[in-house]
Amino acid sequence: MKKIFLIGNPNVGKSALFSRLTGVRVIASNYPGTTVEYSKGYLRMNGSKSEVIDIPGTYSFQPTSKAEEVATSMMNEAIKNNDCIFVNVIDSTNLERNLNLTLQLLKKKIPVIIALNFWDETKHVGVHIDVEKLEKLLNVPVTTTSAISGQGIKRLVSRLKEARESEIDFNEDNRWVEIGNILSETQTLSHRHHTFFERIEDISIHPLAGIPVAILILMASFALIRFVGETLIAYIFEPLFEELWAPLIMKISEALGSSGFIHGLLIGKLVDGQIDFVESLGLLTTGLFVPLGMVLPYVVSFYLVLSFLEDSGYLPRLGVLVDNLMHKLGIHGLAIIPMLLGIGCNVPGAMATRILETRREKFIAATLMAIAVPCMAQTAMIFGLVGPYGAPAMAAVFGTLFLVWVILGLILNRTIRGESPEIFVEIPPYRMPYFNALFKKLWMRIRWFLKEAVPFVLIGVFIVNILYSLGIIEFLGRLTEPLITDIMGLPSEAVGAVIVGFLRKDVAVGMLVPLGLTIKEMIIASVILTMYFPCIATFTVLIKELNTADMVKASLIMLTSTIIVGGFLNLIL
Amino acid sequence: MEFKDLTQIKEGKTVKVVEINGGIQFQKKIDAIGLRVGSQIIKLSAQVLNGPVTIKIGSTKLAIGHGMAKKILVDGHSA
Repeated sequence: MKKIFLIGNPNVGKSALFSRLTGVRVIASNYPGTTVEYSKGYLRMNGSKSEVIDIPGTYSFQPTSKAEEVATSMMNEAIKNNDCIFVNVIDSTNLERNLNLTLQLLKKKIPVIIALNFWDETKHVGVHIDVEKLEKLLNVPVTTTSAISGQGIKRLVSRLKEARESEIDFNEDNRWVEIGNILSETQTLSHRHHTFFERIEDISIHPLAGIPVAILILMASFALIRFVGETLIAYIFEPLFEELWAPLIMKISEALGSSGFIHGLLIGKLVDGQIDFVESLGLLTTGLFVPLGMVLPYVVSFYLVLSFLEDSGYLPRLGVLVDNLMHKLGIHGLAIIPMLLGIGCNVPGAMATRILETRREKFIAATLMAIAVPCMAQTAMIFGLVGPYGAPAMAAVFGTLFLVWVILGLILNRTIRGESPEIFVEIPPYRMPYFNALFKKLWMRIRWFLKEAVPFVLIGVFIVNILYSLGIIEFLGRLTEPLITDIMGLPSEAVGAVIVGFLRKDVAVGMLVPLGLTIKEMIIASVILTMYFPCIATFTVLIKELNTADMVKASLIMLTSTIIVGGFLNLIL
Repeated sequence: MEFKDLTQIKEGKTVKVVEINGGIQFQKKIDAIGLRVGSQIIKLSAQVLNGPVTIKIGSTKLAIGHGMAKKILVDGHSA
C-alpha cells in the first residue's frame, strides 16, 4: 500500500487525525506549530499496513519558515518517489484560507483526498458547506471529519483508495479569484450571535484588560499546580512511601546488617537508625523517592494545567501580550511557549525553540531557558527544601532567576549581531479542551517522564555512591574550593551536588540536605544549580537544536553568569 | 482618498487593504494567509508601546508585529 501523507495549514488538527489513524500518540495542541518535525506511524486496514506521515503545517509551498521548508521538501521528495497519496486536512471553519494550499496541492497532479476537519464546529460558527459540490469542483474526494472526537475517521479510511489526481484547471495568478468562485458556490454563512468564547476572546487580547487577565490566569494556574501537587503528595505518595515502602526497606536494611557496601548502595546511610528518603542516598530509598515521591506529583499537576492551557488556545494570545517585553530580549512573544514547556522539563522546551525562525532567536531562547528556567523536577525539590523557610526565601530564588532571565536577555539582544523577526502568528479560536485527548496527552508526558527521569536518577545516585567511596568528591571539593567557597560562599561538599546536577537537578538539590546549609546558602545553591549547566538530557537536545559552536558559546555564558550571580548573591544576602 | 497604515486606524474598524509594502518574503507570507490588496479586514486590537496588531481576515485571526502593520496600507474611509 502507498504511503499516506497528512498535509495542511498549521493548527487544522493534523496531529489529532494522525493519532486517530495510526494509534501512535503524538502531542496535539491548539496553537500553530506544535509539530515542528514530521511524525511517522502505520495505519492497519484489511490486513495491510501503510505508512502515515504527519507533515508540519504550512500555509503555502513557498516556504517562509523552517517548518514550512520541512513540509515543502518532504512533499517534493514524496512526489518524486511517486508512491504516495496526500490527505489534505482542512479546517472547515476557515475554508477560504485553507483552499489556498489545497489549490496549490491539486496543481501538482498527485493523488489527493480532502478531510474537512473540525466539521462538528461548523454548525456552531454558522458555516454551511455543500460537500458534494465541493467534491465536484475540486475534482477529488472530500469527506468530513472531527479528529478530536473521532467522527468520520472510518469513512475517511475507507475512502483513502479513492484519492486521485484532480483535473481542476485555473491560472496560477488567479488562484484567489478561483478560491472566491469555489466559495461562492459551496459555502453559505449564517448570521449568529457572539458566543461566550468570542466574548472572552476580545478581553484576552485587549491591550489593557488583557494583562490583568493574563496575570490572573497564570496565578490561578500556579495555585492549581501547587494544590494538585500537594494533594497528591499528602494523600497518595507520602502514605505509600512512609507506610508501605519504609517498613519494607527497614527489613531489608536489617537483613543486610545495617551497613556495608551493598547496604550503602541500596539503602544508603541511616539517619538516627532510620532511613531518610532524601538524605540516605541509596538506590531503593532516595533513588526512588526523589523521582516518584517528590517530583512526579508536581509533574502530573504541571502537565495537567499546561495541557489544559495548550488545548484551550490561550497560549498564542499570551504570546501577543508579552511580545513587547520579549522583543527587548531579542525573541518574540511566541517564545513564551518554549519557556512554559521548559518549566515542565527543559528537554521539550529546547525542542520547542523550533517554532522560532532564525538562528539568533533560537540561540537566545534556548540559552535563556537553559539558564534561568528551572524544570519542574528541580522546582519541586526547591519547594520541598526552601519552601519551609517561607515565601521570602522562595521569592529570593525565583525572583533572582527571573531577573537573570530579563537582564541576560537584554544583554544578549544587544551583543548578538542581527535582528529578530517580528511576531506573525495565527490566533486559533478558543476551544473547550476535549478531556479524553487531554488525559491521553497527560499520560504520554508522564510516561515519558518515568521512562527518561527514573533511570537517570538511579544512575545519578549510583555514581554519587561510587564517587563518595572513592574519595573523588572530597578531592574535587578541595579543588573547586576557591570558586565554590570563596566566591559563592558554599561549603566545599556542595561540589557533590554540582557534579550530580549534570545528570539530574532534582537529586542535586536533594544532596544539599545533609550539608545542613543556612537559608542564605540554600538560596545561593538553588540558584546556581539551576544556572550553571542544563542536565545532560537537555544538553544533548540543545546540541542537536543549535549546533556545537553555539552550544559552546551558550555553555560559556552559563558558567560566567553563574559565577557572577553566585558571587553577587553571596555579597548581598 | 486618504490612506493610512494599519497602526493608524481605530480598533474594531473594518477596512479595505489598498497597498502592501515590504520585502518579497513578507508579501508571500501574508498572501499565503489570504491577506492581499482588496481584502476586507477588521482591526481587532493593538498592544501598547508599538506592540503587535491583531487583525481578522475572513475567519482567520492573525497577530502581526507593529513594523509589519505599518507596511499594510488601508482605506481609512471604508466602513
